Amino acid sequence: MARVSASDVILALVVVTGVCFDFTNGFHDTANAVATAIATGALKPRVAVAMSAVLNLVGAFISIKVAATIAKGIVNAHVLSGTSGLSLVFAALIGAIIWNLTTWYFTMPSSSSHALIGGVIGATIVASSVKQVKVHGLLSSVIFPALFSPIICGLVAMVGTFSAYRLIKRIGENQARKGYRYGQIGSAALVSLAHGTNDAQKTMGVITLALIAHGDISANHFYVPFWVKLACATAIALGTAIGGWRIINTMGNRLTNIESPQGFSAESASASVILASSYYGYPLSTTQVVSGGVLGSGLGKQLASVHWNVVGQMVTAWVLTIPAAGVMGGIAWEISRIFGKGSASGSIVIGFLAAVAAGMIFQLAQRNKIGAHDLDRSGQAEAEAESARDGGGPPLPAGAAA
Amino acid sequence: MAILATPIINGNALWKIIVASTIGGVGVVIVFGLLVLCVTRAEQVRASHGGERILYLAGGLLCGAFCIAVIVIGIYAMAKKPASPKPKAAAVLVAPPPTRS
Repeated sequence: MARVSASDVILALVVVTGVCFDFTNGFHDTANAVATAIATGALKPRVAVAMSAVLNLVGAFISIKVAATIAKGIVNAHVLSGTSGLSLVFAALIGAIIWNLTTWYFTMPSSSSHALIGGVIGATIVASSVKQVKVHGLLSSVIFPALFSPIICGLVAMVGTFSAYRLIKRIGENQARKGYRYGQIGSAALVSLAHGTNDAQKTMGVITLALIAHGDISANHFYVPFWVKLACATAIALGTAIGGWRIINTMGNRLTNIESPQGFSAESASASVILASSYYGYPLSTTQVVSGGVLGSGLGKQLASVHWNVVGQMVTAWVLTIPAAGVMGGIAWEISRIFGKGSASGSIVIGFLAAVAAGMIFQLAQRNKIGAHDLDRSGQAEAEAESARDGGGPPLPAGAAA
Repeated sequence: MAILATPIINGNALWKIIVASTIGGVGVVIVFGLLVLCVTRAEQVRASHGGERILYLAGGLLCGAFCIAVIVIGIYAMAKKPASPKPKAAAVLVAPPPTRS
């Protein structure tokens, strides 16, 4: 029987943790695609997340042009080589998962990709030095897109919402609401698909490169094994199907009061920005883009309807994501190093500690649980549709006249 | 703005992103609104004005075609997004196979 080496154990841990990270990415980002559709009652919560899960699964298979490395151009390549490189990636994944769960507990939408990059940077600084971090790459691939993407999406959604409400005056309030609700189903589906093509592949890239580092795949014949695609696609779809109700509530109900024309504008703007940026080679966070779109849709209708205190908390979470995930990744690396650089025992210990921490966060979240039934607005939508058929119904709020 | 030799901001790509996002984001919302408007008006004039109804339905059809075209372009963009370069033998995370003792 073949003996199991330390690198075999660490590789297995990286694969399992990568899949777990994809799962947290799924339920953390469910809100991106379906929050506005649920908030306006266009879709029942369970139906919305089921649709999003299926489309995330399909999206993961649409394009197999995987991002070759998660940290390419952000840290020096040699730091991530060999068994100690595998340990470093493992520590980074742990940091990213813990930060994802922390922001989920505090009901804040934040970028899973930034968490992973933060984890890599933190572990790299602790393992080597700050000189190994490429500032130029960090600015051009992470910081700058993080600044411009929510602003562009917000402006597009604002103009779209303003235009939609101008048209509503001609269409009629209830017919417009009903029509845009149908549109929301399509726009939510497109964002789900785009999310699947982007986010599932980041983890596919991490696992595949770990397999290359381990010597299972030749770097000269780079390909993503089918089982990696299947595992990542399934993990992100299952995570989405679980439904990150806490973040859906924040995105759909707490940032601004959303109506179907706003939801459609926000989702259309988000899909456009994500797809255009992806096509022209700008990496960005779907969470930040969609949040910008939701804010823009609030501003396009009525300035006062945006809850700026929640926006402030969300932006704080965005700013903290890279440093906080970095600190956690650094701590994870430090703990594993106690057991010897590149040792399997260290990785097993931090894996165990991370599992305990994740369990505690889940336990704490049960105290103020938010479920699908808390967010269901479909009854209200059906009542309005009934009213539209009768030719009457409640008027749009004051902001509709913007 | 530039640090060292390469610019941090790719102005050309950024401009294209802004234009594409505006056409996609704002255009679809307006055209979809027009689609709803055409369908609503077509229903309203169903009994009395046959010619007017056909005009609204044709307008609705055009708007619907535009929305479907945007979705198709979106899916095409997803499927054809530029690939990242393949890692070189000595690139990130690549190391000689570990010795198995």
